[in-house]
Amino acid sequence: MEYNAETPIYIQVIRDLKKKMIKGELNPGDKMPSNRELAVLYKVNQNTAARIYREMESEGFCYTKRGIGTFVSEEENMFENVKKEMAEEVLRNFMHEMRDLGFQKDDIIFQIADYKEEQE
Amino acid sequence: MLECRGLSKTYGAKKALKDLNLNLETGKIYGLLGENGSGKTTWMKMVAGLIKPTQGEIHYMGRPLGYKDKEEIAYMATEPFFYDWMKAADVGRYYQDFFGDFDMDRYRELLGKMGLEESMKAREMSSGMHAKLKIAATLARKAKLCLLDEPLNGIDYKAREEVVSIIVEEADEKNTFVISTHLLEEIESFVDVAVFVKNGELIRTADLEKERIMNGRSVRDIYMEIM
Amino acid sequence: MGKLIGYELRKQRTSRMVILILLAVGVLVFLWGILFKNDTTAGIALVLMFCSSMLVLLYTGIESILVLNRDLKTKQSYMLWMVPKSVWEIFGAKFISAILQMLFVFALYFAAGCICLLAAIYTAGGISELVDAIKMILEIAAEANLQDILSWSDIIWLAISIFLSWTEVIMIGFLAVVLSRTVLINSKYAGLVSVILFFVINWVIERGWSLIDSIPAIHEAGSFTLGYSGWYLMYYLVISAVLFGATGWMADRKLSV
Repeated sequence: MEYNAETPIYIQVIRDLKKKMIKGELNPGDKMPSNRELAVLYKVNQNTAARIYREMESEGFCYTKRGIGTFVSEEENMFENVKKEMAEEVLRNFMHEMRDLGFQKDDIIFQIADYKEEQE
Repeated sequence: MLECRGLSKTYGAKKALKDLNLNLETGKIYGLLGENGSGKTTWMKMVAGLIKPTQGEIHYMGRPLGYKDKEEIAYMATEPFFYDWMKAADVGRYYQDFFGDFDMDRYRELLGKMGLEESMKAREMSSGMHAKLKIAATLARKAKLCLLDEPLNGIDYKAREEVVSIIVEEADEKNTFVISTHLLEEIESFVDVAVFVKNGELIRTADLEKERIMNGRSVRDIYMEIM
Repeated sequence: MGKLIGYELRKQRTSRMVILILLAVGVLVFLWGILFKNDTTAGIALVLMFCSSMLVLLYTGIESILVLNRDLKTKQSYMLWMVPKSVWEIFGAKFISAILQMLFVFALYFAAGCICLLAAIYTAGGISELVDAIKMILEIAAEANLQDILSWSDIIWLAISIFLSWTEVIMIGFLAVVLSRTVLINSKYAGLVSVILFFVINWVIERGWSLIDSIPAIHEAGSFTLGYSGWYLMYYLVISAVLFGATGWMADRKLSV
């Protein structure tokens, strides 16, 4: 994974893990990687890995079963919320950038409607 | 776990290390950053017991550093240092003969991961292969303190990834790693504390994640500012 | 310690092999010479083997010192000094290996000599002559043993004194090398100075003994045929201990690789 050098590493990893949950790569009830596995996966140290799970747990994205491991939360609306939350964040950044370029909300909506998706 | 007080080393008129004070804590990965000739290697070799300080003292686990501590402190030099006659298998045997914390199965596993074979001769390896061999031997020890001098130097991108993976896999709350490098980007995601050294002096230590959280500064930003 | 010695011996394995092969060639040439009645060839082979023996033994000792030098100067030094062993064990292992190496080379030459001698007797008079010769040698030996114990002790004494002076040379060599890598490390001429030191220390030790030997009581006590003397033994043992102690002490405090 490519990191942004100025942003805390643990935040960037959490964001990536949340994305995986939304995309269905991590499903409710799935066992998450151990600290060691997470460290290898994201090239972070195990202190950071522990911190990531601590934060995610306090936000309710996962829970720990003592001696077994960490699991993805099974709360139904959790993923919807995450999705909304992340969409909001992306949108906020986008609007911010567009305003910097001098566009107003109406212009932007018009442009989006007009936007042709790049063919993949 | 390790305390350095007023460490100095002089070679004739040249001061390789000047009054260096540094404490290392268990469970952390330290990045030792500085130009070539800034004293990184001198400091590492001192802690490894290969160089005697001109002045100052080193305490390991609360006691003055002695030869027995080499059982728990692993040092990997930048340059090739295995005997000319050694094959990868001999290197493993040597480590097993002298280090109680060496794990032969892990060594074989690491060799395999890096695409090396036990029958390969150390002397005939390319510099990249040799670097991997050194890493495999050093990291197959479960050392309490692991000193890696430029472990990412002279190896290709893929091998770097492998080496980093092995480091973050091995580094846990029970041991301490010190990695010297000038490749800031390669280590910034997993180093806890950066130690900046310049002209034999310790300029600053910085908790990298804290710097990113509090000041939004990358290791490069700090490097550019103080070095 | 055993493992250290093993790896030290490994460092001089190539020389052992070369000496072994050269000697084997020498012996074969000699055998070929006497078998085909080519006395010149046999003679040359014998003379060459004999003359080389002292040189090779000398080289063996010097090589041990050179190996130590390499173990302090090159990157390979990390191999030796990163192991959790005290300087005493490391230098002890080096010293014992040097002695073993010498004994090995000596044994090779001794074996080569025996083979040549037996072959010569055998070709001169067949198997019965050979058996007679061995019997005779054994008889003489047995007789000598019974009648004249002194000559045996002379031989043992000779072996001990060669061994001691050899030990001395290696110990002084070790000390000189360690000095060049510690107190002289910043000097440009450390190598040269250490070579000079080697000879100076050697000379001082010899002078020391002749001074002690010039004390009449001690000289009297040692006036057996070959200069057998407890004092001599004592002197060299003490000097060895001092040299070893100085080397280890210096290395322990000052040595950086």
